[in-house]
Amino acid sequence: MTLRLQPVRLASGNDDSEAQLVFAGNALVAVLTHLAEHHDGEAGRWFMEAWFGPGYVLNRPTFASLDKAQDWILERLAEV
Amino acid sequence: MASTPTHALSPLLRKLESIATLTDEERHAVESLPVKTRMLAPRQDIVRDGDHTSQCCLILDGWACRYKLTGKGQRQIFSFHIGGDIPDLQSLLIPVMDHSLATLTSTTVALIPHADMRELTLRFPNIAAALWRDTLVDGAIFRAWIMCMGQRSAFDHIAHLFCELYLKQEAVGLASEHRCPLPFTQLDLADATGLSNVHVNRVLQEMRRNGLITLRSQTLVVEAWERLVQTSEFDAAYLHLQKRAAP
Repeated sequence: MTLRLQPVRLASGNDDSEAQLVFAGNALVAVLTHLAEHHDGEAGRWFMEAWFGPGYVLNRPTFASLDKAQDWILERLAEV
Repeated sequence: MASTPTHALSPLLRKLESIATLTDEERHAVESLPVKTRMLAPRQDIVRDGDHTSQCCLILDGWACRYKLTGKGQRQIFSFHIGGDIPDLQSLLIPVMDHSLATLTSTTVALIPHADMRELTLRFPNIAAALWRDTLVDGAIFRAWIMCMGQRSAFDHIAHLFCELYLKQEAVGLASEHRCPLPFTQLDLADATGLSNVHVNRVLQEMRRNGLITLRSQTLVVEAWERLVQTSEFDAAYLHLQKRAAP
């Protein structure tokens, strides 16, 4: 399975406005937000803002890159 | 210059006297408790989930928290504790811990044997009532936390917690002028509110931007107390900070 990314802007009202919609086929599985400067140790990482894939993700992870985020998502989808 | 000698257990007396009026005999009995004082490093367990205990831990100085871990190691913080608190007072009657207690900062504690604590409460019903009242206020704080966890936005939840932590410290003389120590990390705050670190960061950023607070060098300054109270619908009644009228 391959994932497709689509950049979007979030009307978040804060500095975290750059995001990516992540599609598996035609289905939206996740929204990843690029963390802005004020996140100190996590600035520049990608935060799992929303997860629509299988199972619940209570402690939403952050990833060093979009590639790492996609690896995580693919693993998660493969578990089903 | 002569200084007033401060008794090691003065944080407990200060706490009890913020709740009830003590007689000289009662004060003396508290001061005579045979305690062992220990200096603990930050992030150290004091008692662990499942431990059988034979003593209570009085915080003299520093911060501690109650917490529990999920099977996957995710931590939920249930409460924060400061000087004068006895977070494991329940162990006097329920000696098996159903959660853990740990320091957040360098902390000085006084360990009070259950037997002596029991004797104190049997001899002085007024002290027993004050301690009982304290556990009831503890319950009220838990209810306020559940309300925040389930029904308030992340912003209002953190605002509510800041109001609570300021007033709790002010009540025992550890804070004034809407400025108080807040010596824990953002991650601790996340684990106490059930929010992600990212969300906590966003909320703090928004609070700063709106001129509600500044948070620097582990000190919280509430710049706009009324607005913080208003947004979080904070009603201090649940902290029951006024002394109960003497019977």
